[in-house]
Amino acid sequence: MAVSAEGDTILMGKSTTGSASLKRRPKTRRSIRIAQIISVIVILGLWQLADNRLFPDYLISSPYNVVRRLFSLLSTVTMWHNIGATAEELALGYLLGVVTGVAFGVGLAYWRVAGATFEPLITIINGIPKIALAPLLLIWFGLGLASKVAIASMTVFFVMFYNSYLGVRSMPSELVEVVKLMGASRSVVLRKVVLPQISTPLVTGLRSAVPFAMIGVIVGEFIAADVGVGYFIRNSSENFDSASVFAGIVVLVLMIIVGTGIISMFERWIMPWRTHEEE
Amino acid sequence: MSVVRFDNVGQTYEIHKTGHLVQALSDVTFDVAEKEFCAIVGPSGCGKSTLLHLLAGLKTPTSGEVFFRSHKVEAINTAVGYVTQDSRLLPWMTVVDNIRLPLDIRKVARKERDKLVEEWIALVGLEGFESVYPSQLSGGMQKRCSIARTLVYGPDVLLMDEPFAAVDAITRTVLQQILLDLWSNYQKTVLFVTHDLNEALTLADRIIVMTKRPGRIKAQIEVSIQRPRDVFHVAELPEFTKLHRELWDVFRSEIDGSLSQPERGQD
Repeated sequence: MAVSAEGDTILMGKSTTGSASLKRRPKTRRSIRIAQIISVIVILGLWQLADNRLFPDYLISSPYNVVRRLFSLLSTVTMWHNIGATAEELALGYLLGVVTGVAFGVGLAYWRVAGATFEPLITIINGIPKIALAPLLLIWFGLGLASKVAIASMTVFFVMFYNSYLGVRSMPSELVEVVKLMGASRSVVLRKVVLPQISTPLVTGLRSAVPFAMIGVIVGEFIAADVGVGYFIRNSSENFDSASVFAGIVVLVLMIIVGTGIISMFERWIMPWRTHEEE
Repeated sequence: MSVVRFDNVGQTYEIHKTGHLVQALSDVTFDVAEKEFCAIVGPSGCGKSTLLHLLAGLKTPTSGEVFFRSHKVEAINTAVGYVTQDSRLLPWMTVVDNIRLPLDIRKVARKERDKLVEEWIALVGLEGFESVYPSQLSGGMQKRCSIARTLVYGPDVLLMDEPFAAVDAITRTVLQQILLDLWSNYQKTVLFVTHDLNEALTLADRIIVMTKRPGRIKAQIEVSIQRPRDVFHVAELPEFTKLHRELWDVFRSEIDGSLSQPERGQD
Protein backbone atom coordinates (compact mmCIF):
# COMPACT_ATOMS: atom_id res chain seq x y z
CA MET A 1 0.00 0.00 0.00
CA ALA A 2 2.67 2.44 1.03
CA VAL A 3 4.55 1.78 -2.17
CA SER A 4 1.66 2.41 -4.54
CA ALA A 5 0.77 5.63 -2.72
CA GLU A 6 4.34 6.78 -3.07
CA GLY A 7 4.28 5.88 -6.77
CA ASP A 8 1.17 8.01 -7.26
CA THR A 9 2.64 11.08 -5.68
CA ILE A 10 5.70 10.80 -7.88
CA LEU A 11 3.45 10.66 -10.94
CA MET A 12 1.36 13.64 -9.92
CA GLY A 13 4.40 15.72 -9.13
CA LYS A 14 5.91 15.10 -12.54
CA SER A 15 2.78 15.42 -14.65
CA THR A 16 2.96 19.23 -14.67
CA THR A 17 6.32 19.24 -16.43
CA GLY A 18 6.70 18.70 -20.15
CA SER A 19 8.81 15.57 -19.92
CA ALA A 20 6.33 13.84 -17.63
CA SER A 21 5.16 11.31 -20.22
CA LEU A 22 8.73 10.26 -20.91
CA LYS A 23 9.63 9.82 -17.28
CA ARG A 24 6.36 8.31 -16.16
CA ARG A 25 6.81 4.86 -17.67
CA PRO A 26 10.02 3.64 -16.02
CA LYS A 27 8.83 5.05 -12.68
CA THR A 28 5.48 3.23 -12.93
CA ARG A 29 7.22 0.10 -14.02
CA ARG A 30 9.61 0.28 -11.11
CA SER A 31 6.85 0.82 -8.54
CA ILE A 32 4.91 -2.13 -10.00
CA ARG A 33 8.04 -4.24 -9.73
CA ILE A 34 8.49 -3.22 -6.09
CA ALA A 35 4.82 -4.02 -5.38
CA GLN A 36 5.27 -7.45 -6.99
CA ILE A 37 8.30 -8.27 -4.87
CA ILE A 38 6.56 -7.11 -1.71
CA SER A 39 3.44 -9.19 -2.44
CA VAL A 40 5.59 -12.29 -2.89
CA ILE A 41 7.41 -11.56 0.38
CA VAL A 42 4.07 -11.05 2.17
CA ILE A 43 2.69 -14.38 0.87
CA LEU A 44 5.86 -16.24 1.86
CA GLY A 45 5.78 -14.53 5.25
CA LEU A 46 2.16 -15.55 5.88
CA TRP A 47 3.03 -19.08 4.81
CA GLN A 48 5.97 -19.10 7.23
CA LEU A 49 3.75 -17.79 10.05
CA ALA A 50 0.95 -20.28 9.33
CA ASP A 51 3.30 -23.24 9.61
CA ASN A 52 2.78 -25.12 12.89
CA ARG A 53 0.39 -22.36 14.02
CA LEU A 54 -2.62 -22.65 11.67
CA PHE A 55 -1.61 -25.92 10.02
CA PRO A 56 0.71 -28.75 11.03
CA ASP A 57 4.13 -28.80 9.38
CA TYR A 58 3.59 -32.10 7.57
CA LEU A 59 0.74 -30.50 5.58
CA ILE A 60 2.17 -27.19 4.41
CA SER A 61 5.81 -27.12 5.52
CA SER A 62 7.28 -23.59 5.36
CA PRO A 63 9.34 -21.52 2.93
CA TYR A 64 12.36 -21.81 5.18
CA ASN A 65 12.07 -25.59 5.38
CA VAL A 66 11.43 -25.89 1.65
CA VAL A 67 14.53 -23.87 0.77
CA ARG A 68 16.63 -25.84 3.23
CA ARG A 69 15.28 -29.11 1.86
CA LEU A 70 15.88 -27.93 -1.69
CA PHE A 71 19.55 -27.20 -1.01
CA SER A 72 20.13 -30.45 0.86
CA LEU A 73 18.41 -32.37 -1.97
CA LEU A 74 20.48 -30.64 -4.63
CA SER A 75 23.63 -31.85 -2.89
CA THR A 76 22.56 -35.48 -3.29
CA VAL A 77 23.34 -37.60 -6.34
CA THR A 78 19.88 -39.18 -6.26
CA MET A 79 18.11 -35.86 -6.80
CA TRP A 80 20.32 -34.99 -9.76
CA HIS A 81 19.60 -38.43 -11.08
CA ASN A 82 15.87 -37.64 -10.82
CA ILE A 83 16.31 -34.26 -12.47
CA GLY A 84 18.39 -35.82 -15.25
CA ALA A 85 15.77 -38.50 -15.94
CA THR A 86 12.91 -35.98 -16.06
CA ALA A 87 14.93 -33.60 -18.24
CA GLU A 88 15.74 -36.39 -20.67
CA GLU A 89 12.10 -37.51 -20.90
CA LEU A 90 11.00 -33.90 -21.27
CA ALA A 91 13.49 -33.09 -24.03
CA LEU A 92 12.91 -36.28 -26.01
CA GLY A 93 9.12 -36.13 -25.66
CA TYR A 94 9.10 -32.48 -26.60
CA LEU A 95 11.28 -32.93 -29.68
CA LEU A 96 9.40 -35.96 -30.89
CA GLY A 97 6.06 -34.23 -30.39
CA VAL A 98 7.22 -31.06 -32.14
CA VAL A 99 8.66 -32.87 -35.16
CA THR A 100 5.67 -35.16 -35.70
CA GLY A 101 3.11 -32.46 -34.89
CA VAL A 102 4.60 -29.95 -37.33
CA ALA A 103 5.11 -32.60 -40.02
CA PHE A 104 1.49 -33.74 -39.82
CA GLY A 105 0.14 -30.21 -39.45
CA VAL A 106 1.98 -28.83 -42.47
CA GLY A 107 1.45 -32.01 -44.48
CA LEU A 108 -2.29 -32.22 -43.93
CA ALA A 109 -2.79 -28.51 -44.53
CA TYR A 110 -0.77 -28.67 -47.72
CA TRP A 111 -2.42 -31.74 -49.22
CA ARG A 112 -6.05 -30.78 -48.97
CA VAL A 113 -7.51 -34.23 -49.62
CA ALA A 114 -5.53 -35.81 -46.82
CA GLY A 115 -6.38 -32.87 -44.59
CA ALA A 116 -10.09 -33.21 -45.23
CA THR A 117 -9.85 -36.95 -44.54
CA PHE A 118 -7.90 -36.86 -41.30
CA GLU A 119 -8.88 -33.56 -39.72
CA PRO A 120 -12.14 -34.83 -38.14
CA LEU A 121 -10.36 -37.91 -36.85
CA ILE A 122 -7.62 -35.87 -35.23
CA THR A 123 -10.20 -33.51 -33.73
CA ILE A 124 -11.98 -36.47 -32.14
CA ILE A 125 -8.75 -37.90 -30.78
CA ASN A 126 -7.82 -34.47 -29.47
CA GLY A 127 -11.14 -34.41 -27.60
CA ILE A 128 -9.92 -37.29 -25.44
CA PRO A 129 -8.26 -36.00 -22.26
CA LYS A 130 -4.68 -37.06 -23.06
CA ILE A 131 -3.99 -38.02 -19.48
CA ALA A 132 -6.60 -40.77 -19.75
CA LEU A 133 -4.43 -42.42 -22.40
CA ALA A 134 -1.36 -42.41 -20.15
CA PRO A 135 -2.04 -45.81 -18.50
CA LEU A 136 -2.47 -47.34 -21.95
CA LEU A 137 0.84 -45.91 -23.12
CA LEU A 138 2.48 -47.32 -20.00
CA ILE A 139 1.23 -50.78 -20.95
CA TRP A 140 2.57 -50.33 -24.48
CA PHE A 141 5.91 -48.74 -23.70
CA GLY A 142 6.82 -50.14 -20.29
CA LEU A 143 7.68 -48.43 -17.05
CA GLY A 144 10.89 -46.75 -18.20
CA LEU A 145 11.83 -43.75 -20.30
CA ALA A 146 9.86 -44.71 -23.44
CA SER A 147 6.41 -44.44 -21.87
CA LYS A 148 7.09 -40.95 -20.44
CA VAL A 149 8.44 -39.81 -23.80
CA ALA A 150 5.32 -41.23 -25.47
CA ILE A 151 2.90 -39.42 -23.15
CA ALA A 152 4.80 -36.12 -23.38
CA SER A 153 5.15 -36.27 -27.15
CA MET A 154 1.46 -37.07 -27.51
CA THR A 155 0.40 -33.93 -25.63
CA VAL A 156 2.95 -31.84 -27.54
CA PHE A 157 1.90 -33.40 -30.86
CA PHE A 158 -1.63 -32.00 -30.66
CA VAL A 159 -0.51 -28.51 -29.65
CA MET A 160 1.95 -28.37 -32.54
CA PHE A 161 -0.37 -30.07 -35.00
CA TYR A 162 -3.13 -27.51 -34.53
CA ASN A 163 -0.80 -24.53 -34.54
CA SER A 164 0.93 -25.51 -37.76
CA TYR A 165 -2.22 -26.82 -39.47
CA LEU A 166 -4.18 -23.63 -38.81
CA GLY A 167 -1.08 -21.57 -39.60
CA VAL A 168 -0.80 -23.01 -43.08
CA ARG A 169 -4.54 -22.79 -43.68
CA SER A 170 -4.55 -19.10 -42.83
CA MET A 171 -1.78 -18.49 -45.38
CA PRO A 172 -2.20 -15.23 -47.31
CA SER A 173 -2.60 -16.64 -50.81
CA GLU A 174 -1.27 -13.38 -52.35
CA LEU A 175 2.25 -14.07 -51.12
CA VAL A 176 2.13 -17.59 -52.48
CA GLU A 177 0.82 -16.22 -55.79
CA VAL A 178 3.61 -13.68 -56.05
CA VAL A 179 6.31 -16.26 -55.45
CA LYS A 180 4.72 -18.74 -57.85
CA LEU A 181 4.72 -16.06 -60.55
CA MET A 182 8.45 -15.73 -60.02
CA GLY A 183 8.64 -19.36 -61.04
CA ALA A 184 8.89 -20.97 -57.62
CA SER A 185 8.37 -24.70 -57.26
CA ARG A 186 6.29 -26.24 -54.50
CA SER A 187 9.30 -26.81 -52.31
CA VAL A 188 10.45 -23.21 -52.70
CA VAL A 189 6.97 -21.97 -51.80
CA LEU A 190 7.13 -24.21 -48.73
CA ARG A 191 10.55 -23.00 -47.63
CA LYS A 192 10.30 -19.32 -48.49
CA VAL A 193 6.65 -18.57 -47.74
CA VAL A 194 4.81 -21.32 -45.88
CA LEU A 195 7.34 -22.10 -43.15
CA PRO A 196 8.18 -18.46 -42.34
CA GLN A 197 4.48 -17.61 -42.39
CA ILE A 198 3.57 -20.32 -39.92
CA SER A 199 6.56 -19.59 -37.73
CA THR A 200 4.50 -17.15 -35.65
CA PRO A 201 1.77 -19.65 -34.63
CA LEU A 202 4.49 -22.28 -34.56
CA VAL A 203 6.65 -20.43 -32.06
CA THR A 204 3.60 -19.67 -29.95
CA GLY A 205 2.98 -23.42 -30.01
CA LEU A 206 6.61 -24.19 -29.22
CA ARG A 207 6.44 -22.05 -26.12
CA SER A 208 3.12 -23.30 -24.81
CA ALA A 209 4.15 -26.90 -25.53
CA VAL A 210 6.91 -26.81 -22.86
CA PRO A 211 4.54 -26.98 -19.86
CA PHE A 212 2.37 -29.47 -21.78
CA ALA A 213 5.35 -31.76 -22.23
CA MET A 214 6.10 -31.39 -18.53
CA ILE A 215 2.53 -32.40 -17.61
CA GLY A 216 2.89 -35.49 -19.77
CA VAL A 217 6.19 -36.50 -18.21
CA ILE A 218 5.04 -35.89 -14.63
CA VAL A 219 1.80 -37.80 -15.13
CA GLY A 220 3.81 -40.73 -16.48
CA GLU A 221 6.12 -40.58 -13.50
CA PHE A 222 3.22 -40.33 -11.07
CA ILE A 223 1.61 -43.48 -12.44
CA ALA A 224 4.63 -45.72 -12.65
CA ALA A 225 8.34 -44.95 -12.48
CA ASP A 226 11.37 -45.57 -10.31
CA VAL A 227 13.21 -42.36 -11.11
CA GLY A 228 12.37 -38.73 -11.99
CA VAL A 229 11.17 -35.58 -10.25
CA GLY A 230 7.53 -36.68 -10.62
CA TYR A 231 8.39 -40.00 -8.99
CA PHE A 232 10.22 -38.11 -6.23
CA ILE A 233 7.20 -35.84 -5.59
CA ARG A 234 4.77 -38.74 -5.43
CA ASN A 235 7.08 -40.70 -3.18
CA SER A 236 7.54 -37.73 -0.85
CA SER A 237 3.79 -37.16 -0.64
CA GLU A 238 3.27 -40.79 0.34
CA ASN A 239 5.68 -40.14 3.21
CA PHE A 240 3.83 -36.91 4.18
CA ASP A 241 7.05 -35.04 3.47
CA SER A 242 5.53 -31.82 2.17
CA ALA A 243 8.83 -29.91 2.28
CA SER A 244 10.20 -32.34 -0.31
CA VAL A 245 6.99 -32.11 -2.36
CA PHE A 246 7.34 -28.33 -2.51
CA ALA A 247 11.06 -28.60 -3.24
CA GLY A 248 10.24 -30.96 -6.14
CA ILE A 249 7.66 -28.50 -7.47
CA VAL A 250 10.23 -25.68 -7.29
CA VAL A 251 12.59 -27.87 -9.31
CA LEU A 252 9.87 -28.44 -11.93
CA VAL A 253 9.14 -24.72 -12.17
CA LEU A 254 12.84 -24.00 -12.65
CA MET A 255 13.04 -26.66 -15.36
CA ILE A 256 10.08 -25.13 -17.20
CA ILE A 257 11.65 -21.67 -16.93
CA VAL A 258 14.90 -22.99 -18.38
CA GLY A 259 13.03 -24.83 -21.16
CA THR A 260 10.95 -21.80 -22.10
CA GLY A 261 14.07 -19.64 -22.01
CA ILE A 262 15.78 -21.92 -24.50
CA ILE A 263 12.72 -21.71 -26.78
CA SER A 264 12.68 -17.90 -26.55
CA MET A 265 16.33 -17.77 -27.58
CA PHE A 266 15.53 -20.05 -30.48
CA GLU A 267 12.62 -17.77 -31.42
CA ARG A 268 14.82 -14.66 -31.58
CA TRP A 269 17.29 -16.60 -33.66
CA ILE A 270 14.86 -17.92 -36.30
CA MET A 271 12.58 -14.88 -36.51
CA PRO A 272 14.74 -11.75 -36.40
CA TRP A 273 12.09 -9.77 -38.29
CA ARG A 274 9.64 -10.01 -35.40
CA THR A 275 11.73 -8.01 -32.97
CA HIS A 276 11.89 -5.30 -35.62
CA GLU A 277 8.13 -5.17 -35.92
CA GLU A 278 7.75 -4.66 -32.22
CA GLU A 279 10.03 -1.61 -32.18
CA MET B 1 3.41 -8.51 -83.49
CA SER B 2 1.19 -8.59 -80.48
CA VAL B 3 2.54 -9.87 -77.20
CA VAL B 4 -0.80 -10.23 -75.53
CA ARG B 5 -4.13 -11.09 -77.04
CA PHE B 6 -7.50 -11.33 -75.35
CA ASP B 7 -9.93 -13.14 -77.62
CA ASN B 8 -13.63 -12.90 -76.74
CA VAL B 9 -12.85 -13.36 -73.08
CA GLY B 10 -15.70 -13.75 -70.63
CA GLN B 11 -15.44 -14.42 -66.94
CA THR B 12 -18.19 -15.49 -64.58
CA TYR B 13 -17.62 -16.22 -60.94
CA GLU B 14 -19.70 -17.58 -58.16
CA ILE B 15 -20.13 -15.54 -55.01
CA HIS B 16 -18.86 -17.62 -52.13
CA LYS B 17 -21.55 -19.52 -50.21
CA THR B 18 -24.61 -17.89 -51.83
CA GLY B 19 -23.81 -19.53 -55.17
CA HIS B 20 -24.96 -16.36 -56.91
CA LEU B 21 -23.32 -16.02 -60.33
CA VAL B 22 -21.71 -12.73 -61.30
CA GLN B 23 -20.46 -11.92 -64.74
CA ALA B 24 -17.24 -9.96 -64.42
CA LEU B 25 -16.16 -9.76 -68.05
CA SER B 26 -17.96 -10.14 -71.32
CA ASP B 27 -16.60 -10.32 -74.88
CA VAL B 28 -13.31 -8.64 -74.21
CA THR B 29 -11.06 -8.59 -77.24
CA PHE B 30 -7.89 -6.57 -77.56
CA ASP B 31 -4.19 -6.84 -78.37
CA VAL B 32 -1.17 -5.31 -76.76
CA ALA B 33 1.83 -4.67 -78.96
CA GLU B 34 5.48 -5.23 -78.12
CA LYS B 35 6.88 -2.41 -75.93
CA GLU B 36 3.50 -0.75 -75.68
CA PHE B 37 2.39 0.95 -72.49
CA CYS B 38 -1.28 0.10 -72.28
CA ALA B 39 -3.49 1.42 -69.50
CA ILE B 40 -6.83 -0.10 -68.58
CA VAL B 41 -9.29 2.17 -66.81
CA GLY B 42 -12.81 1.53 -65.67
CA PRO B 43 -15.16 1.93 -62.74
CA SER B 44 -14.50 -0.29 -59.74
CA GLY B 45 -15.87 -3.78 -60.12
CA CYS B 46 -15.53 -3.77 -63.90
CA GLY B 47 -13.13 -6.71 -64.00
CA LYS B 48 -9.94 -4.85 -64.92
CA SER B 49 -7.90 -6.74 -62.34
CA THR B 50 -9.43 -9.97 -63.57
CA LEU B 51 -7.84 -9.30 -66.96
CA LEU B 52 -4.41 -9.31 -65.32
CA HIS B 53 -5.23 -12.43 -63.30
CA LEU B 54 -6.16 -14.22 -66.51
CA LEU B 55 -2.99 -13.15 -68.25
CA ALA B 56 -0.88 -14.24 -65.29
CA GLY B 57 -2.60 -17.61 -65.38
CA LEU B 58 -3.97 -17.20 -61.85
CA LYS B 59 -7.48 -17.70 -63.22
CA THR B 60 -8.87 -19.33 -66.34
CA PRO B 61 -11.49 -17.55 -68.43
CA THR B 62 -15.01 -18.96 -68.46
CA SER B 63 -15.18 -18.33 -72.18
CA GLY B 64 -12.76 -17.16 -74.85
CA GLU B 65 -8.99 -17.40 -74.81
CA VAL B 66 -6.00 -15.44 -73.57
CA PHE B 67 -2.77 -15.62 -75.55
CA PHE B 68 0.71 -14.70 -74.45
CA ARG B 69 3.26 -14.58 -77.25
CA SER B 70 0.82 -16.67 -79.37
CA HIS B 71 0.62 -19.40 -76.70
CA LYS B 72 -2.64 -19.94 -74.89
CA VAL B 73 -2.27 -19.12 -71.17
CA GLU B 74 -3.20 -22.30 -69.33
CA ALA B 75 -0.91 -22.35 -66.29
CA ILE B 76 0.88 -19.82 -64.10
CA ASN B 77 2.61 -17.46 -66.49
CA THR B 78 6.11 -16.99 -65.11
CA ALA B 79 7.17 -14.86 -68.07
CA VAL B 80 5.33 -11.81 -66.74
CA GLY B 81 6.19 -9.55 -63.84
CA TYR B 82 3.28 -8.70 -61.57
CA VAL B 83 3.04 -5.63 -59.35
CA THR B 84 0.00 -5.11 -57.17
CA GLN B 85 -1.46 -2.36 -55.03
CA ASP B 86 -0.15 -3.90 -51.83
CA SER B 87 3.55 -4.49 -52.16
CA ARG B 88 3.42 -8.17 -51.20
CA LEU B 89 6.97 -8.23 -49.95
CA LEU B 90 7.89 -11.18 -47.78
CA PRO B 91 7.93 -9.69 -44.26
CA TRP B 92 10.60 -12.11 -43.03
CA MET B 93 13.14 -11.01 -45.63
CA THR B 94 15.19 -7.84 -45.79
CA VAL B 95 15.01 -5.53 -48.79
CA VAL B 96 18.03 -7.15 -50.40
CA ASP B 97 16.72 -10.68 -49.78
CA ASN B 98 13.32 -9.80 -51.22
CA ILE B 99 14.89 -8.46 -54.38
CA ARG B 100 17.26 -11.43 -54.59
CA LEU B 101 14.49 -14.02 -54.21
CA PRO B 102 13.32 -14.23 -57.86
CA LEU B 103 16.94 -14.56 -58.97
CA ASP B 104 17.52 -17.37 -56.49
CA ILE B 105 14.37 -19.09 -57.71
CA ARG B 106 15.62 -18.77 -61.28
CA LYS B 107 19.03 -20.06 -60.23
CA VAL B 108 20.95 -17.06 -61.51
CA ALA B 109 24.69 -17.42 -60.87
CA ARG B 110 25.77 -15.75 -57.65
CA LYS B 111 28.04 -13.17 -59.23
CA GLU B 112 25.48 -11.96 -61.73
CA ARG B 113 22.76 -12.13 -59.12
CA ASP B 114 24.59 -9.85 -56.71
CA LYS B 115 25.40 -7.42 -59.48
CA LEU B 116 21.75 -7.25 -60.59
CA VAL B 117 20.46 -6.81 -57.05
CA GLU B 118 22.89 -3.98 -56.38
CA GLU B 119 22.01 -2.35 -59.69
CA TRP B 120 18.27 -2.45 -59.04
CA ILE B 121 18.55 -1.23 -55.48
CA ALA B 122 20.34 1.80 -56.92
CA LEU B 123 17.82 2.23 -59.77
CA VAL B 124 14.86 2.49 -57.40
CA GLY B 125 16.85 4.54 -54.87
CA LEU B 126 16.93 2.14 -51.95
CA GLU B 127 20.67 2.38 -51.21
CA GLY B 128 21.28 2.26 -47.50
CA PHE B 129 18.10 0.26 -46.86
CA GLU B 130 19.45 -3.12 -47.99
CA SER B 131 19.26 -4.86 -44.65
CA VAL B 132 16.01 -3.30 -43.49
CA TYR B 133 12.79 -5.32 -43.14
CA PRO B 134 9.67 -4.26 -45.11
CA SER B 135 7.79 -3.37 -41.92
CA GLN B 136 10.38 -0.64 -41.31
CA LEU B 137 9.86 0.96 -44.74
CA SER B 138 7.33 3.62 -45.75
CA GLY B 139 4.63 2.67 -48.25
CA GLY B 140 6.47 4.40 -51.08
CA MET B 141 9.71 2.61 -50.29
CA GLN B 142 7.94 -0.74 -50.09
CA LYS B 143 6.59 0.02 -53.54
CA ARG B 144 10.08 0.77 -54.84
CA CYS B 145 11.28 -2.50 -53.39
CA SER B 146 8.42 -4.41 -54.97
CA ILE B 147 9.10 -2.81 -58.36
CA ALA B 148 12.79 -3.69 -58.12
CA ARG B 149 11.91 -7.24 -57.12
CA THR B 150 9.67 -7.58 -60.17
CA LEU B 151 12.04 -6.00 -62.68
CA VAL B 152 15.26 -7.56 -61.40
CA TYR B 153 14.67 -10.83 -63.22
CA GLY B 154 13.96 -9.07 -66.45
CA PRO B 155 10.39 -10.02 -67.43
CA ASP B 156 9.67 -8.09 -70.61
CA VAL B 157 5.95 -7.86 -69.86
CA LEU B 158 4.78 -6.09 -66.74
CA LEU B 159 1.32 -6.41 -65.27
CA MET B 160 0.60 -3.58 -62.85
CA ASP B 161 -2.60 -3.59 -60.84
CA GLU B 162 -3.19 -0.11 -59.42
CA PRO B 163 0.38 -0.17 -58.16
CA PHE B 164 0.43 3.43 -56.93
CA ALA B 165 -3.11 3.67 -55.56
CA ALA B 166 -2.07 3.35 -51.93
CA VAL B 167 0.74 5.92 -51.80
CA ASP B 168 0.50 9.68 -51.32
CA ALA B 169 0.28 12.05 -54.30
CA ILE B 170 3.89 13.24 -54.25
CA THR B 171 5.33 9.76 -53.85
CA ARG B 172 3.04 8.58 -56.62
CA THR B 173 4.38 11.19 -59.04
CA VAL B 174 7.96 10.24 -58.20
CA LEU B 175 7.19 6.55 -58.68
CA GLN B 176 5.46 7.28 -62.00
CA GLN B 177 8.59 9.04 -63.23
CA ILE B 178 10.76 6.12 -62.10
CA LEU B 179 8.45 3.72 -63.91
CA LEU B 180 8.46 5.74 -67.12
CA ASP B 181 12.25 6.00 -67.09
CA LEU B 182 12.59 2.27 -66.51
CA TRP B 183 10.05 1.54 -69.20
CA SER B 184 11.83 3.57 -71.83
CA ASN B 185 15.30 2.37 -70.81
CA TYR B 186 14.42 -1.29 -70.60
CA GLN B 187 11.86 -1.59 -73.41
CA LYS B 188 9.09 -3.29 -71.52
CA THR B 189 5.52 -4.03 -72.48
CA VAL B 190 3.23 -2.79 -69.72
CA LEU B 191 -0.41 -3.47 -68.89
CA PHE B 192 -1.33 -0.93 -66.28
CA VAL B 193 -4.67 -1.09 -64.48
CA THR B 194 -5.79 2.11 -62.78
CA HIS B 195 -8.91 4.06 -61.93
CA ASP B 196 -7.02 7.33 -62.13
CA LEU B 197 -7.55 8.97 -65.52
CA ASN B 198 -4.66 11.40 -65.01
CA GLU B 199 -2.32 8.56 -64.24
CA ALA B 200 -3.42 6.68 -67.36
CA LEU B 201 -2.88 9.76 -69.53
CA THR B 202 0.48 10.52 -67.96
CA LEU B 203 1.90 7.06 -68.52
CA ALA B 204 0.21 5.22 -71.36
CA ASP B 205 0.42 5.00 -75.15
CA ARG B 206 -3.10 3.72 -75.31
CA ILE B 207 -5.97 3.68 -72.83
CA ILE B 208 -8.62 1.00 -72.83
CA VAL B 209 -11.82 2.17 -71.18
CA MET B 210 -14.01 -0.54 -69.70
CA THR B 211 -17.71 -0.40 -68.99
CA LYS B 212 -19.13 -1.17 -65.59
CA ARG B 213 -19.86 -4.82 -64.83
CA PRO B 214 -19.98 -6.98 -66.82
CA GLY B 215 -16.81 -5.35 -68.11
CA ARG B 216 -16.67 -4.74 -71.84
CA ILE B 217 -14.38 -2.54 -73.81
CA LYS B 218 -16.11 0.78 -74.24
CA ALA B 219 -13.45 2.76 -76.05
CA GLN B 220 -9.77 2.84 -76.83
CA ILE B 221 -7.94 6.12 -76.82
CA GLU B 222 -4.49 6.69 -78.30
CA VAL B 223 -2.41 9.01 -76.16
CA SER B 224 -0.40 11.03 -78.62
CA ILE B 225 1.50 13.08 -76.04
CA GLN B 226 5.17 13.17 -77.00
CA ARG B 227 7.81 11.17 -75.17
CA PRO B 228 9.88 11.33 -73.10
CA ARG B 229 7.26 12.73 -70.75
CA ASP B 230 7.91 14.74 -67.63
CA VAL B 231 5.28 13.51 -65.19
CA PHE B 232 5.59 16.67 -63.12
CA HIS B 233 4.53 18.92 -66.00
CA VAL B 234 2.74 16.69 -68.49
CA ALA B 235 -0.68 17.82 -67.26
CA GLU B 236 0.08 21.37 -68.37
CA LEU B 237 0.24 20.38 -72.05
CA PRO B 238 -2.81 21.39 -74.15
CA GLU B 239 -2.97 17.87 -75.59
CA PHE B 240 -3.30 16.46 -72.11
CA THR B 241 -6.27 18.71 -71.34
CA LYS B 242 -7.93 17.81 -74.62
CA LEU B 243 -7.45 14.06 -74.10
CA HIS B 244 -8.55 14.31 -70.52
CA ARG B 245 -11.82 15.90 -71.59
CA GLU B 246 -12.30 13.24 -74.24
CA LEU B 247 -11.55 10.43 -71.80
CA TRP B 248 -13.74 11.88 -69.11
CA ASP B 249 -16.69 12.17 -71.51
CA VAL B 250 -16.38 8.48 -72.33
CA PHE B 251 -15.93 7.57 -68.71
CA ARG B 252 -18.66 9.69 -67.18
CA SER B 253 -21.62 7.66 -68.42
CA GLU B 254 -20.16 4.62 -66.62
CA ILE B 255 -19.67 6.53 -63.38
CA ASP B 256 -23.18 8.04 -63.54
CA GLY B 257 -24.60 4.60 -63.92
CA SER B 258 -22.77 3.24 -60.92
CA LEU B 259 -23.75 6.18 -58.75
CA SER B 260 -27.38 5.14 -58.81
CA GLN B 261 -26.43 1.47 -58.36
CA PRO B 262 -24.51 0.63 -55.21
CA GLU B 263 -21.30 -1.28 -55.92
CA ARG B 264 -20.70 -4.79 -54.76
CA GLY B 265 -18.32 -7.58 -55.56
CA GLN B 266 -14.70 -7.56 -56.54
CA ASP B 267 -12.69 -5.73 -59.12
